[in-house]
Amino acid sequence: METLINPELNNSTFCQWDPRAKIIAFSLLLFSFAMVKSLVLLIAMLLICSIIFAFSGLPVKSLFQRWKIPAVLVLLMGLILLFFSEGHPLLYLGPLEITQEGLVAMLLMLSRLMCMLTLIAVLLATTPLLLLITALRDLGLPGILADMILFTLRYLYTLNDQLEQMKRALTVRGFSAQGLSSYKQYALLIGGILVRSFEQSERVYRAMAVRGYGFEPGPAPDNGWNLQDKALCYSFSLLAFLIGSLQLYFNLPGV
Amino acid sequence: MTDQILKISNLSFSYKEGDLILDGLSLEVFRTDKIGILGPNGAGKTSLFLLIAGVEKPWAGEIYLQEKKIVPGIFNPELGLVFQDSDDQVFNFSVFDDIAFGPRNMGLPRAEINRRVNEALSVLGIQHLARRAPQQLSGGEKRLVAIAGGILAMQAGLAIYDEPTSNLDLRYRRRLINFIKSHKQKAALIASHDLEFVLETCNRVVILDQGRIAADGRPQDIMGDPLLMEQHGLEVPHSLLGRQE
Repeated sequence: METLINPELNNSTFCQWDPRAKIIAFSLLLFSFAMVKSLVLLIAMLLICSIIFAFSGLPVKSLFQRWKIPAVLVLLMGLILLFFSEGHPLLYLGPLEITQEGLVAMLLMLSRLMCMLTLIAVLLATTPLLLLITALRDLGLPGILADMILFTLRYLYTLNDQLEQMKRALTVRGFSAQGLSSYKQYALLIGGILVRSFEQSERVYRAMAVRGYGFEPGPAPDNGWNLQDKALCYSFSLLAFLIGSLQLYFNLPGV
Repeated sequence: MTDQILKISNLSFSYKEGDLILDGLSLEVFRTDKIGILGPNGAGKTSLFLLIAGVEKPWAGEIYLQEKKIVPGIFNPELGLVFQDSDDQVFNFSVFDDIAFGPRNMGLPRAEINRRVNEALSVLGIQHLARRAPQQLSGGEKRLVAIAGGILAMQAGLAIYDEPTSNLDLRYRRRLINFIKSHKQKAALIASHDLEFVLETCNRVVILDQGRIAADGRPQDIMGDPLLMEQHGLEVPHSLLGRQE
């Protein structure tokens, strides 16, 4: 959680890049990756993704750590595609049949998702979450939504501390998590946390109002993108456009 | 320019009908006043502060801050409020951003915001906390950040502290006392159950009970009166007991 909110930044180009430009460029590239169906473009996509990852200066270990949870789901979906796609049989594993089409579909899906996850990992690891949400707000995300995301993240720690404290209070009074009654106790605990967090949200809002939240607009943000931001944003957009256009071309009948 | 900074006339307030928290309260605060607001739990201290800050709407009566009527829901940068629980007040992701929150809403230029934040940090000696996240701060550090953001960076003419010493260790309590004492030209309202703290920082004391002002005067006179203190669920501070004997 801490690394998601405040990642350790290195000196790579991506860390210096304006978060707004980064969001636009990476989103466009993500959309173009999602369109890829051709094997030629698949190789190009893997190459682009590897270059981006190499330039990010992130350790490979960190990538595997971020892949860990989604990889299980992706692998499961890949196995379903591999064993349950109809087409020309290649191999039999007992009652299961592996088809050529299934194999291609699995490889395509795995490569696409892993490339997309890598891009997201690079984005999150090179931009503190606070800057990312502020950039999203600058790009048009409603302010109230951005504030809600920020407050959720800020107060998760407080809520977790409260929950731990309540659990300790239960333990010192002889509570042990056994049987159905323990679930009832946990439900009461969570209910208590919800009520507390509602009350706290009202107090936080008061504290914000006293310091002018919602009354006066703050100064206009510094909107200037430097040459490097523009160059990177345009080149990524061009790349995404090329991938998308080529895929559309390959989709044409007879190509 | 008059010396009066705050004027409260016949203020009444209740959260629900019939249950008055404040009942026709009147109070005048002057520029050099440091007023300790004493009273039992539920006396209406926090409600009074929220009304002065314009967060709650009074049922009757008026409040004037620097001769300007307080309209509920309108931002008053002349007033700074430090809440009881610093976790409610330090809501940003970094200490710097939290202190800059008020000045940003005041529409100040970026350079002025940075200057105010750095000055507030340096006055309280917490420059090293600027990039820290609130969850990485101790209770005392959070309280200092709340003061930096709620009062110093806003450059408020009237500072309001609601239980400022709760959860503070002796070291931070002493820093807070020194800070409040050093701000001689700023008026302050301080609600606290820490009577020794009030005695050390305030030059005027008001006892609030059942929504009314029960006593108003010099700290030594009010807090040194055992009968008066007992009547309102309070005790004479230890340091004044010797004087009684």
